[in-house]
Amino acid sequence: MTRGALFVTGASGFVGRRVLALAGQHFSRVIAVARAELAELPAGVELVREDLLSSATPWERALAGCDAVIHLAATTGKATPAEYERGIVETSARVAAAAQRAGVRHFVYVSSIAVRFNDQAHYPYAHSKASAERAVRASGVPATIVRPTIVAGPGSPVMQGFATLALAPVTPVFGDGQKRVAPIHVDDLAEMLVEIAASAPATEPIELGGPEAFTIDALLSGIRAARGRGAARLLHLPFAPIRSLLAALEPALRPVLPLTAGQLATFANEGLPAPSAFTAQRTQPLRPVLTPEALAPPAPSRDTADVLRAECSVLACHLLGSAPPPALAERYLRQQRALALDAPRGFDALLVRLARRGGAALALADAYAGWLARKSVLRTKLVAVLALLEVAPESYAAIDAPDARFAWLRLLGRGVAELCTALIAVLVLGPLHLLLGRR
Amino acid sequence: MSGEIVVIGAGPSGLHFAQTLLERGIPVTLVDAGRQRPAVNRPELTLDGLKRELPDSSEYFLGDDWQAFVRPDADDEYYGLPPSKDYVFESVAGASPRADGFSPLFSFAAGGLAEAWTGGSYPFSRAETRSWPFDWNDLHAAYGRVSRRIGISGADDDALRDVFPTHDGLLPPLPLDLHGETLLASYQAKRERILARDRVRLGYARIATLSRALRGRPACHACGRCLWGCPSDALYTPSVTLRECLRDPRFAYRAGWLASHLLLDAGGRATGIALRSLDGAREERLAASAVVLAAGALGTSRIVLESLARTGERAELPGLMDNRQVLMPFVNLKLVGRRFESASYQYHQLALSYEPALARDVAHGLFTTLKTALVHPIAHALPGSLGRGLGVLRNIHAALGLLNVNFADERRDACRVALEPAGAQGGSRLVLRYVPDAGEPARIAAALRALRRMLLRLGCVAPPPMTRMRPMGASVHYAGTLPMSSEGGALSCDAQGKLRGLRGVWIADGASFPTLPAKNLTFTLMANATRIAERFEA
Repeated sequence: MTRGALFVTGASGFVGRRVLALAGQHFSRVIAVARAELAELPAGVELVREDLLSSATPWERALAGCDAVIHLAATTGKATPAEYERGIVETSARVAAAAQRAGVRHFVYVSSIAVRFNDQAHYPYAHSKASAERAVRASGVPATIVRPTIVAGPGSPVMQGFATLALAPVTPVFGDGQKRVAPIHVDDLAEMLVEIAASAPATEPIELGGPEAFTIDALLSGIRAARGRGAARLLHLPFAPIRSLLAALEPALRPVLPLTAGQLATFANEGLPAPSAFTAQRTQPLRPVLTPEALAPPAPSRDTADVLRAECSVLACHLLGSAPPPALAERYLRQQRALALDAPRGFDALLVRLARRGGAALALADAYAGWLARKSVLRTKLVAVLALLEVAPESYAAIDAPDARFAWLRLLGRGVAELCTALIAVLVLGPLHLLLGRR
Repeated sequence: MSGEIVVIGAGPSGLHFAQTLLERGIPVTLVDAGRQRPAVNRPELTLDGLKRELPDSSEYFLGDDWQAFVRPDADDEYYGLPPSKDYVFESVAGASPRADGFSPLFSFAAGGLAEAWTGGSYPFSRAETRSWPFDWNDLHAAYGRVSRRIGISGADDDALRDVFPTHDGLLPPLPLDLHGETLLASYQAKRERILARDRVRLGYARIATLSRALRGRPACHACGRCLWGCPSDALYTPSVTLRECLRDPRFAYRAGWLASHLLLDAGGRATGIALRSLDGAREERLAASAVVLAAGALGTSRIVLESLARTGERAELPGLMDNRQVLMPFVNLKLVGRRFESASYQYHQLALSYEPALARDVAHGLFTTLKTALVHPIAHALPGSLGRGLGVLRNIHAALGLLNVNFADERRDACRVALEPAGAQGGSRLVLRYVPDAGEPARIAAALRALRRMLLRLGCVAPPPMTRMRPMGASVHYAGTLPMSSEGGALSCDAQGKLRGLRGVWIADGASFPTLPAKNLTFTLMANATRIAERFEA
């Protein structure tokens, strides 16, 4: 059965991209909203590039005439409670209200199994998802709440996190490792979301899980086996003290902590879906989640042209001390694509993101790359910008101009400043390099 | 006997051999791969002018495929060659060689590898060629003859006058830039002390760049484009000689062919040469009364080995030589904070000779100022952040120099060239093996210590971590696989370059050098080929 138009938020995310690919089976038109550019847009999909929380709202006009909405956009990862509130609760309320005004027939809200966890201490993500469910119901739009379990499949961020633990020489497990999970393959989830959107709204939340339930211990061992490694050496750690420690450190150290107290909730709660009428009538077999293909790491995503242009300006300013020539950005774009420098991963990506902030962050990243990561993508990018600047008509002379006076004194000053920056850079970035550096 | 004199290879050796025969009125056919230099981009502009006025200067300087961008995350040997010289090193169809301890470079350009040379023209002395089986005066006369053709600028009255023999046709030296002047003045102030303590002599370089107009070529006008390809031919390249030869009606130029093997009759006499087109698609046979091999030491070795293999003989050629090269960057403290002028001669203005007690330990050095090379590899080579590295580089750019040190080599059995089958259609590839001699590390370390000390006396600091020994093969002075000797022996040459073991075959390139002094060999390649051609009787 093919129905009219589907409106998808969070379209550039892990689940959103698969939904776009499959939506054509049930909908004749698909409108996708995303903040980022999409590398490959499936045929028949229109992209509205927008932040759902921005004041300008052309996406609301695009909503007019849509039959169904799949609302996936949500803040994830290491965010503050305030960011979750804004990125999950406010966004959902706003989109649901707009859908109600536009007369949308069916609003599918993608929530999380975490709202049913017994122990939600220090877990603002779960709290926000629960508030958002209430906000969607309150909006009056005909809606279905969908609560997936862990979403697996190629490039799954959660499964990558488990894989990092599983493939370590010793695998830390928080708690007794006996709580159960039932990860669902992203392709199954995407198919089901589109099927649900094409059907009538359900009053009860639909919980969606995968073909098999695993204990945490079994999941970690299974990932190791799928990657062709020997048995895991599991080290069970006491759950409560570690969570308390993380919770205490979080306000100050959130950006550099490897995981948050909230992300530990999976280790402390049963994560199996409750049966529902939707799953009972569905007959298609579900995809396995512990195959090597399903566990493939994410394909590196290529940076967008806008990101690279802005990066060019920041890096060129850093080297030149003034704004770069206007033509430089386009050359930089061509160069970065040609040299495949537009998709850094792991620690490389962290250094590049830090550098894009400019100022002191860039100074730190540059110093770290210069002393301890001379083959990093950031170092290559800096040298690449210099190569462009040194032959450009506007900048070649400045690249070579000596300081007007006190050359020796300034050289000395540069040496001292370099040593200080390098010391701080090593202290701050060194541990992260050790953690993320394995390729 | 039918056919003509066929020369294989349009490099410095083959072209000066051919030109000498033409000057004697003898017709010559020259066979060559013959890749042509693309037209020079905007020859009227200076280096800075190119940066200012080309529509996309990044394409000219960094290449249409960014091939001249030196990636920090790559480990390739850095040659600093610009995109405009890519044609010199462009490869052709066929199996690439298998090399052990050696990084070979090849050229299929009209003019050969010397199309990308830096012009250093240093005659070998009588002492350096003592084991060569002919009278040095013959070679000396040939140096003069070549110099009158190509034009060599340099001094004959400074500290190096005993190291670089004087010959006919020497032009006055090119004017020094600020860096050259400063170094030479510092040396002259401490000359006695440096000679006694460090055993170093320093003076003007000898370069095949015109300080006065010669045979239709203008004098160097200091546009600063040397590295990027001299736009006026003031810097000699062998393609200048090729153009001169082409004006002679007795000269036949067969470009677009690779020589595969000699055509041999039952008695082991060469009756011609088998040719293959560059793409490997076509083959041809060229009859000859004499075949003169000048395809470069490796190319010539390959032709001889391939020819022998077709008679069922699997030979190996021992004695492969190359100059070990060490690059020693330094900072001239007197010039820190100075602004530099890019409009000056950019290759070697000064040279030095390091002369310890043993003659075999002699090293030959060339000073380059690093002014017009791309900056980004230099900035990356500095320690620490690139932002501050560039801040430092801006202030020391005018003070930067590079001492390029060359060491002598001698023929040793362990260094060999052989051939092995490769590919499905009965093809073959070169197998190169180079083993440095046991004394090399100590010899190099002693020389570098002395040179670093000498630089310090001149007010220059050469940080040891920046000094780099290049892989064997990087200096591209290959020689010694078919050596001239008076004793005889299979696969050696007589004093006239006539190959023993086969008849009707001459060797006119570096393959016939019995030793390899520390000096650049290109001038001697031209002079020795000229010397052989002066008395050549087919």
